[in-house]
Amino acid sequence: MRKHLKILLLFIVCLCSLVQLSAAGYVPATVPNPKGPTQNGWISDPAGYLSAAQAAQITTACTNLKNHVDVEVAVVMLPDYDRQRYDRLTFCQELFNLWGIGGRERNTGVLVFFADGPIGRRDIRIHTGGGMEGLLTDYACSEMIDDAYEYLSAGEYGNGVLKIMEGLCRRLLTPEAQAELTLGWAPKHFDEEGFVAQMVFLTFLFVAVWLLCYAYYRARKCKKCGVATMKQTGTKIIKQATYKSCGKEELTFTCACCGHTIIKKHIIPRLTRTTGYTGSGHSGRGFSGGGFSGGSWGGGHSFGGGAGRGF
Amino acid sequence: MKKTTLIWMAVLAAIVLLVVWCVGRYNALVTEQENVEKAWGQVQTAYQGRAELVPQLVATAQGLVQGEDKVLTDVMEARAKATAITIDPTNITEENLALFQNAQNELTQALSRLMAVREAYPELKLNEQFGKLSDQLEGIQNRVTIARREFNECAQTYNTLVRRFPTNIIASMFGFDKRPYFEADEAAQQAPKVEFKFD
Repeated sequence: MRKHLKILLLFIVCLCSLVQLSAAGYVPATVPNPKGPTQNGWISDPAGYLSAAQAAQITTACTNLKNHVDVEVAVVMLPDYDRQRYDRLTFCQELFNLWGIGGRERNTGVLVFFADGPIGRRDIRIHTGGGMEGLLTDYACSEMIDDAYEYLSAGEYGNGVLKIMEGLCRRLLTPEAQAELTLGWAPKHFDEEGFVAQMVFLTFLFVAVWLLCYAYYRARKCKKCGVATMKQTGTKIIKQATYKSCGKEELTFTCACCGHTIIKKHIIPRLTRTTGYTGSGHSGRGFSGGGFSGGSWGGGHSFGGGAGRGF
Repeated sequence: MKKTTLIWMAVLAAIVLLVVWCVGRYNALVTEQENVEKAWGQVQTAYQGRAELVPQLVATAQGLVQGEDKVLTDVMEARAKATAITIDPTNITEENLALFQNAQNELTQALSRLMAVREAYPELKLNEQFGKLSDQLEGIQNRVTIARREFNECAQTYNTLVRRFPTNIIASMFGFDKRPYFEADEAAQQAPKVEFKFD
């Protein structure tokens, strides 16, 4: 037993080290998401390329873009990523759609991606969501990278990204861009509540039908021979029900199979005068959001737009 | 009430349950099929964008290079062939897709030969218009790559559903066919390697 345990332990250790080995660089799923239950930021910078001032400036720009033109910008700066499994494009594409940057309806999201590495293998990419392709053409993205290239190639990554943010704001915060981006800006949400309600209703329906069937079966089951053939054969009223008090009756059940007879006492409900229905409807909803300090991306999708460069 | 009534009720309940399940599965199949069709739409849009860009690219290049007529006519011919083949998204079959893919790959290759020519002509390389267009072309190629991958992913989800028991019964009853995949054609996808010779 102990030996087995040892082998098992060894195996687990091996497995862990394998995982460690394969985690040589980031993959989209392991990039820290700036949006979550407890945080609501725009920047994912686990290695700290940005100074506090730079991060604050980027955050302001992102917030502005979100508030004025409903564009979500994610800034991701990584020391490295799994370059054997991903190239710049596929990494950005997967990360973009994994997080769902930009609104679900209009896909107005932008991912600014930087990955460090040896000189010549560093990556910069501006990845655009489906709804941004009109305003931020690949060529426009390429121009923005050109503008930031001076800083980036000198190793001033924070300033480079700031330059890109500047370019984004310059292009997106114009009245024309605003008009285009906010055209038909009517946030709609997938009717999750309706879907859940439907499911709950169906489940209840099934349970109810099942219970009814079961109750019916139980009522008809003979206690003596076990066959479900009990049937009501007689009624004897002991006391009539009035408007003031309940009545009482005796019901006779006989089993068609073995002739076993039982008598059940039954209370007759008090008589009621028919009046107009005045039942009050149900109102109010069961769920409400509590104290919610986190955030999430809007669920946007990219079709691979944007431009990138290795340097 | 007799025992038989009870049995009938149970049978009825079972039938109702079965019908509800069938409807659910059928709807799931329809949803997945629509996803495949949507993904196909993206593939065609991406390829179409490329086809629209090609004439501009060729026209710009024409004025700047001499003696490379073959490369340019190749591109235009491949484009004509590629645009001639479109597939109805509800009728994507293995043969259809193979034809489509072959035609598009030919254009990809013709275009990469054109891009290789660029290296030999400094005036083409430095031309702003051509640079802009080739940036766009690169972007479109990216979209093609992603659209193809997403199509394959959708097709895979759908095919899994179609083939897995017991949904496959519903699928065969209502004629949900398997969808083919794009074959990974890495050679055609990659830009040609430019070799530097130091003699």
